[in-house]
Amino acid sequence: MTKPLPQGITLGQLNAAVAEIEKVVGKDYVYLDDVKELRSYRDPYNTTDDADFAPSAAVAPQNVEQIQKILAIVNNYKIPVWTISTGKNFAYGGPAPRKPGYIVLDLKLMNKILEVNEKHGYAIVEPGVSYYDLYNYIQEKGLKLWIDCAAPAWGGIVGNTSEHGAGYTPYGDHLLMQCGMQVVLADGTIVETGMDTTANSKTGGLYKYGQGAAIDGLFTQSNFGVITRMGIWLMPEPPGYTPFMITLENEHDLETVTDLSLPLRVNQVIHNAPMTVDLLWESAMSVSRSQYYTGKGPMPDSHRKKMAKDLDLGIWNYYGAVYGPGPMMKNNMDVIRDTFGSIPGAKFHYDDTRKGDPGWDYRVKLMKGTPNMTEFSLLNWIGGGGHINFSPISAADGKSAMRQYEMIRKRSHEYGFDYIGEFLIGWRDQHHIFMLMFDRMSAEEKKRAHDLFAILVDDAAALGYGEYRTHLSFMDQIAGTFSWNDNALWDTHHALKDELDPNGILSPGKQGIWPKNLRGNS
Amino acid sequence: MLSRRTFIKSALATNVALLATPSQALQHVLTGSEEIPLLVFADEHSLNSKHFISNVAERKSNIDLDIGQHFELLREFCKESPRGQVSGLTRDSDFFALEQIAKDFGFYTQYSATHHYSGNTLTHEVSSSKDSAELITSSLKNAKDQWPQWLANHMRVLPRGNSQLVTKKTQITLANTDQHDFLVSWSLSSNKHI
Repeated sequence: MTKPLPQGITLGQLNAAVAEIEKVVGKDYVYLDDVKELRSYRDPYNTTDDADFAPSAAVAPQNVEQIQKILAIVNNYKIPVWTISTGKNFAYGGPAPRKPGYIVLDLKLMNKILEVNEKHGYAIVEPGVSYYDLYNYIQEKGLKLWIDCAAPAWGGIVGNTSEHGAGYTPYGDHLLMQCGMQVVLADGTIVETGMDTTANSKTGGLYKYGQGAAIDGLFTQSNFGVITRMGIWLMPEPPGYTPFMITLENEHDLETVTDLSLPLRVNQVIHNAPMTVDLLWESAMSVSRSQYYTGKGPMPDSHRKKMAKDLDLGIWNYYGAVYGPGPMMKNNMDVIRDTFGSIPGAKFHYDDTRKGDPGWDYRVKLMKGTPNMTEFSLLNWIGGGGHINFSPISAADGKSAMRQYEMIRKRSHEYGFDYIGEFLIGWRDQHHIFMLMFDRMSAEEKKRAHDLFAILVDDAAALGYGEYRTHLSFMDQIAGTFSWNDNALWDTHHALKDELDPNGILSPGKQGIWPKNLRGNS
Repeated sequence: MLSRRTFIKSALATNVALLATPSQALQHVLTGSEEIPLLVFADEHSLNSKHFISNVAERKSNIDLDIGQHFELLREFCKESPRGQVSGLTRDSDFFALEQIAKDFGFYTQYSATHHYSGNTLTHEVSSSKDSAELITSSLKNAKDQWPQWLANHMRVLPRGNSQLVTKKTQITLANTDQHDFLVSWSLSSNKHI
């Protein structure tokens, strides 16, 4: 196998850099074997050639000092590194780099939980700390705190937060709950943000903004530095928790349920981000597609309806929760029942009747911050399932939601794929996640999925929608849709990039931000 | 003593006989390989996977829908048994997740195969070392609907080592089957401890 190389770098230069890096971290923490070791740094769900995102090596430093030394070496050779925390960002590229030949800077060994403060409800963690790690720590110590985890929960807190990930408790906007970070810049400078910039700081985990420009966001979905520590707020364990689900019979109920949700959400009657989940997403927890339909193309409506009836699911399935003292929850639930009970055919479900249903059980766990991996079962909907997520932002508005849903469903059916999706209402918006699932063993199907995704980006842009996060393959295309005022935003990103990372060593191409030596070649 | 490689070449070829009673050659190799700690995973919902695990005597774990509940068991095994082998017959997503966890301990895939029912056709697609892929594929084919038992009997002699993987595929027609399974059999071990 030919070793993938970064653009403009020779094998000799790569080998020389790797030899120096081995002296810093030790040979055991540098991974070079393309057949075995580096396979796990590729994206199994890529829709193009596997070689498009193949790294040349990976290195796992154990502390900030080692990162500084590695960055000095790659600066010298001008070899790009691709930073990952736990590398579980699957559907968006996983641990794989944006271009072949980059060295993956894997922060998995920096996995210390530095502080958990029960009184003030925060934690300070390193990038290798997963949601499971923090949850287990809190359980072992008996602390009355909840985490807010991604689904599936094997990912890292720092990685998910810096990718603008979302969760399912009232603390589900992860970047909103981030408080302070430590960053290593390309030249090795260590920067603290927020209050930890003061000497003997006592408030780093308490107040986000510090003095002067709040720059934390600059280091998210970007390549301006390597985040080596992050503060995250944790929710105090509430005295009570009432999850609920509403099954809805008709496709157009998406419009009604969305419109009814917004006032309840922004006024905090529903405390977490409610989700409107389509039938196939829910069904895939307990059945496979071939149990109901073995034909080609999207599953026909008649088969969908039978499945909904068999599994006691709706065409849409709405999840939410309230938290707090009993009387408060009762009041809120009365309002929620009155509001959604007006939808014809709407049926409420609670733990006493739904417990044991796989879809219900894992949502109940997620909405109280209990990590699990059940959502990964979705991939068994088709055998050998791969997926990439198309994730446009919609207004939390019924007509907008229907417009996006109909646009995506129409296109996905045109390209022969099922619509599998969910809407998650944030503070004013909806994250719409279309899980584009394909047979990853079929080159033809992968290509069709790739083409569909590309046209969806254009379709969405034409209707005024942009995506909140995306797969490696589409970062440049989507960056191109955020182009107002002659690409002023991207010109700003590039000006920052050139100043902070003149050799372009940190994650070139991340989210469409390229260093000057690679701009125009992407 | 037969080497593992010699065994794979000779013993796997006589796979049908091996289904019934282990041959002397197999017994010989198994005696040696029994020293290798083995952890086996199976999907508790699939009939084929249940059939498989019922024929496994070693340390085993049945997977429900949340593969995350098995991560600690896998981590502990990999830490305690760096020379060990982790195998399974599971859903595709569960194999993927376990493979990701195991790689942090230097355990990598040395063998995997998909087993896919569609209509009355069963397809095995084997990814294994060059010297074993063809033999395993034909063995699975010859085992017909007893393939899970064949796998259970041969978990200990699946390939180990740092070989390039090649892919072989076979299809068989089964009468009276209404199965929809898509399962993966697999084996992980550490290159550094072979």
